[in-house]
Amino acid sequence: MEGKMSKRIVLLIGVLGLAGMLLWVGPGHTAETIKMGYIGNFSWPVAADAFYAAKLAVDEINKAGGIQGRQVELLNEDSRGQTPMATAAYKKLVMTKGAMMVMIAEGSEINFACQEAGADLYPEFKHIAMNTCTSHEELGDKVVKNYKRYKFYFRPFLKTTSYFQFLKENIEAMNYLTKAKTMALIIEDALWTEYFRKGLLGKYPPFKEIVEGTGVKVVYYAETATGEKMFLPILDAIAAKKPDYIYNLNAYSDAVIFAKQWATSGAADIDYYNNGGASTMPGYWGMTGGAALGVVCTTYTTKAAVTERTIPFIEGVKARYNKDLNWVSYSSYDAPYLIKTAADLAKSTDIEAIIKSLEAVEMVGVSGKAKFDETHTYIYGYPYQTAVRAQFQKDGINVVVFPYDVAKATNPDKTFVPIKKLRKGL
Amino acid sequence: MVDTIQIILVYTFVLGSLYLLISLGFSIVCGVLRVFHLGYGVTFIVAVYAMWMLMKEFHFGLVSAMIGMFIIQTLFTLGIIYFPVVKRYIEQEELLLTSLILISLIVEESANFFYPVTAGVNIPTTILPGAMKIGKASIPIQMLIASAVAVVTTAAFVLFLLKSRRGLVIRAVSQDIESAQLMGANVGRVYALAMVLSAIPPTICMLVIAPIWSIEPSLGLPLMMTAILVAILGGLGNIRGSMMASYIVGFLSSSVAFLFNPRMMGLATLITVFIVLIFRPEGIAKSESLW
Amino acid sequence: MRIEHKRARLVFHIKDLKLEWTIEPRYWRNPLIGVAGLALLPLVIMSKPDYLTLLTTANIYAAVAIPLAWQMAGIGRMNFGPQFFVGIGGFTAALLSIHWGWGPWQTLGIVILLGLGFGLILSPLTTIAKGLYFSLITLILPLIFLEFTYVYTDIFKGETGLSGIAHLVHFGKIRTNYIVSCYLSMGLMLIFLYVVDKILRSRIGLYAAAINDDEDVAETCGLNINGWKVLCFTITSVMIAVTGWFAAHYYGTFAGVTYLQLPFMVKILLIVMIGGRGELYGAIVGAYFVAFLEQALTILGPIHYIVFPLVLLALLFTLPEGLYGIYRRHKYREYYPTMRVRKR
Repeated sequence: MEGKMSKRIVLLIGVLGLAGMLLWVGPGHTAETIKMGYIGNFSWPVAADAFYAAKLAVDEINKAGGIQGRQVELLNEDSRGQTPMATAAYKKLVMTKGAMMVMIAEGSEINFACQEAGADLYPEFKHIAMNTCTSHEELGDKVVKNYKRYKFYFRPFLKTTSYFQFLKENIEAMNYLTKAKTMALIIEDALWTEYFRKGLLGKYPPFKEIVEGTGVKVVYYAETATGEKMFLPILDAIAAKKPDYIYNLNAYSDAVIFAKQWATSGAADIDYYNNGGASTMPGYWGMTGGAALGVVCTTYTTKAAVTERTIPFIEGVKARYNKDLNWVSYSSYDAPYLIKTAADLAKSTDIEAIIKSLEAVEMVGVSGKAKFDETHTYIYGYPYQTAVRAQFQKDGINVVVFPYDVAKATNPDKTFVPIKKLRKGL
Repeated sequence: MVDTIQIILVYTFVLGSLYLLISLGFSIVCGVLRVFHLGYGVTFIVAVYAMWMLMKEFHFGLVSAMIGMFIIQTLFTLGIIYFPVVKRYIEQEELLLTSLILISLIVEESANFFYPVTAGVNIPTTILPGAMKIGKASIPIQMLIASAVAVVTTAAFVLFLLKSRRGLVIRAVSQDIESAQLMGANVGRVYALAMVLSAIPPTICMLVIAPIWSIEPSLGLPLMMTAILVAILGGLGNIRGSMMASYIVGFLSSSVAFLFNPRMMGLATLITVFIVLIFRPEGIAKSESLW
Repeated sequence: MRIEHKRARLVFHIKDLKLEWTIEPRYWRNPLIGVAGLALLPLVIMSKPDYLTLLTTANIYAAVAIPLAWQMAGIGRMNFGPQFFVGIGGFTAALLSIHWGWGPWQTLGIVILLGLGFGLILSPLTTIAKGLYFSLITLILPLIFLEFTYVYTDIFKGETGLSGIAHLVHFGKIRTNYIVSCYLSMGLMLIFLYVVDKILRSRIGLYAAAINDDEDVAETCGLNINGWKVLCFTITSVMIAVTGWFAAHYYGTFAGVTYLQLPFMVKILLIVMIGGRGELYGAIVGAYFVAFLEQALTILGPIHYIVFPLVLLALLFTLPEGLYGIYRRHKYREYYPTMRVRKR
């Protein structure tokens, strides 16, 4: 006998099911605990791993007595990488769970959506949003243009213009390490690189000009599509020009394939700096099957003491949760501590007071001194925020090469080795 | 100018052979079973991750891992795709397509769960490292080996289809099922054999290009889209058509990349297939069966 | 009390009384009860804003699946790219709102016009392309659109998407905004349902059934199949474009990568299949089910990514006609197109 149901009954079952879900009430909102939220796409290893950095921070804060005497509770929501679910999670955390701070470990699209949702919610539900993951300039510009509406939005991370500084440091380092006179520049053609390819009106010229301003000649320049998998033609053209090093600025492109193809192409003996993407992930050596030998890139897992808190942080995440670290981890670890420091400065947990306090606070973070500028973004540049650059050498060992004093402190007996020598097995 | 033409020709051969290997299995499924296999990407994922699992968790050596992986692939194709799904729903195409898509999703998410991108999955099947210069183009030797393997595999398949008795039966079933049955062909067995055969080219493909390709759980979808585009252009389910179409697509991709803008490669291919679908939907091949 | 089930009727025997209730959507009281139930739902869950968003998302999915159900029957082919029109509606609304500051009710007119335009331009495909090839063309169209958004990144903003789109309603309190938006989404879905239901029950529905069954026979009966196909395709395309418009204004952001790629198509396909293979009311059931299931399974943690398609697969195996098929076994007429790779 088949099941016989009418549309009405099916609807009834749906409503009952919904009621059942409603009855499942989460942990009660006690006046004593402070709630912090974390929104990320847990099928993306970066967001999933960075959550544990936030967890470590919250655990440490709680052990030290909490924030102004109140314990902190960390809630997480899976956005599945979809904007509708991310905004729903954001609203849930702020409205239903009463979170006073929400970390958003997502790309620009979701951050824009959450920023708008947060701005709508702010008048009635005061909270703070922390963007730990994406550097889109406009997210910070909106805070300046409409302070009243977006003042709750903070970014303990880089923005595009501070990125210019970061890039220039990379170029100068490579110039020095490889004693370069010429170089090849590749930039991926994506929205976030628009300012680097075309320049930022009134502030910075195109990146190519900045590079040439440091004293090297750009003998080859190309823009690649983000979905590109075949870089051999470009590598061939580069090999023909014989630059001293290659600089590849990318985030969405396939850095793994590039390294694999670079290692077997005619340009294999040209030093290579990969700025972004998969090279920052700890598995890069394994993913490229060792083809990353000689690649210089930012590293987030090497135990380099950028500040006195960096190494305990790296060891803490590994020991407690056995998770890898990436760029989002550093911001996610700083975020709860920023709230604590600001609350201690303001001697209160009132949101308006904390916001004012955050704008003034100067804290020792894990990637440098933490201070916000007028766009509520981290200030970049030693002794403020910086990043560790390292080179993959034999057996995948990361040798720190920049900043120079961090390099000397971390691996005093090792230094940058040109790729030609590395390939010969030195 | 001559240099550019020479580079384009070299890349046409290399890319075309690669596309041929990718789409061969899809054509076989389309031509024999008359099924639009929207879960085709799953074969690539199973090939890579089964091999990685055998090597990492069970510490197999390279050769034994490959043998084990072929066995797993066959078991998977027959045990999960063919018998429970294809055989059951072969008359109800929407259910079949949806089930195949779902299976492909389940396998992809499982791969992402156990071995996400950060796990550093790497298949060390480099036969000869380094690159070779052909005129002005420098091609990794592994890629040339991949192209050669593609040609050899296709030749082997064509020979099998043309010369062997089984191949004859397969061709008969693909041309006209009823007549083949009248002649005594066991259609069920032919279907099963075709499905297993269709899993072989993707597996070989992944084995050979793993050192120079990106290995991530979502690699199935772009490869399947390539296979679909080549198959549509060549005429669904026709190997001769696929052979021609793959080199045409290879030529299209490389000429657009070198003469205009590499970014337009995908768009050019899509628009070409779109136009072909409107004006000559049967594709290049004149035949409706496998060969 | 004894409940007896006779063909499409429930008979309640209470002592000596015999009450009958017809369980068919055609019986006017049933849809009314259904709509009343749906209308009360947002009020029940209004304290949980994430459920409101979930309900709105489910309504948006349903609003795509409902015209699709009519379209698939009316043109006799499976459309694998409804998200193309979602993209058209969404991007139009987004661009007009961001660059010219138009509000949602002003962009609606342009969205309808553009949906109509593109629908008309693409409608010859329904007559030229046969069966499978139409499905393949519709499969490719959204991908071409996506490539265009990447090529013209300045306008469409590639991976980031457009943001800052005007919201649907502006009341003082935030909760009011959310509930009103939810009701608007429900209204949209119910309007679509009403329109398509009425159409399917009229002559046009009969023509659609005839075209779906056998086009040649329909033509011999004197039916202008090309005209009806074009009409069906154009109107359903406009409806789907309006859904895109709604999504853009509701979320405030619109990105090609979210709506134009295959995963979104797979979701719509799953909704259609789970709901009952192109059945009208099944579309709503399927949309709600898939949306709620996706959200509910997140409790399981990262493993829910595997469990979600697994559950759907199990459901398809046990209920090959989808959830609505449980009901539809009463019916003896089935109108839905099939896709054949066979050349015949």
